[in-house]
Amino acid sequence: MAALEQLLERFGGAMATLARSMLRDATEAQDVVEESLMRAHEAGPGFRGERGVRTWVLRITANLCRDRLRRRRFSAGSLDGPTPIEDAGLRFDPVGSWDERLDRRAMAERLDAAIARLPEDQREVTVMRHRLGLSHEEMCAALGVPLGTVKSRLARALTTLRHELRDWDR
Amino acid sequence: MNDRNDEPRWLRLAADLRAEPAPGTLARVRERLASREHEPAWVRWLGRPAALATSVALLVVCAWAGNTWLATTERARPDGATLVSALLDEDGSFGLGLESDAAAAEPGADSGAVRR
Repeated sequence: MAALEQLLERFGGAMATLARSMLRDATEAQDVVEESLMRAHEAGPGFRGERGVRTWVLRITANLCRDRLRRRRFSAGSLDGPTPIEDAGLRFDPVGSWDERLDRRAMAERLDAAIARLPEDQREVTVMRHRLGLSHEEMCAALGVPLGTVKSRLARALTTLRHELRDWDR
Repeated sequence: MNDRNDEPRWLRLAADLRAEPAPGTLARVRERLASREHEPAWVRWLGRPAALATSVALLVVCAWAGNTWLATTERARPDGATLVSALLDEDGSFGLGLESDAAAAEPGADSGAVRR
């Protein structure tokens, strides 16, 4: 059980951020985090450490998120549009410096809404890359897809985001 | 890190939104793990995606076995005989109400036919 505590302490934040960014529902995301921890705990003895613990637990979380989204599509319970960050269970926590003249929170919310509208596969890589700071190689391991796929998904996501937020590039 | 140079600066704002697991997560996970341990292994297995795959595989196997069995039973009948065709064969008329020429030419005494 000490391993469980360690997992939660070290990766709980990343798991919760990924689940809430993907599912946009705090309750469902919390359930996914708990389920991920249970799966990791049960699969622990079989873990060989080839890819690192972080990518391993994020892979479990990402798979569970995909299952939930698939189930949602079956039950026609998809969300109408991106939910506000509080409803999704996300918290505004500025990282690094920024031009104080700009309303950073409003921009972050607008960017989040644009990310939430991306197709699932693109949203997944965008969150992993830009919210969790995973490298391309870590994303390959966490998603189980080749490097080229990760890069093309990121490029497509960036094109869409640039188009949606084109007034920011001026 | 060179990839980062092509990315717009505003994309860094994505990292401003984070989440933490709800308080009491560890206790709930322990509780769920404990209750799961009390469940029989097969009930736990039913909750796994492998259960769905196995169900589909079983369905396919049953459909195939049923089809094979039906095909074998059909083949076992001589010339594909069925109950209807067997009855028709015994009757000799094949269900057309035809009689032999002689019988048709001479109506029987009790047939009620008028002779001229």
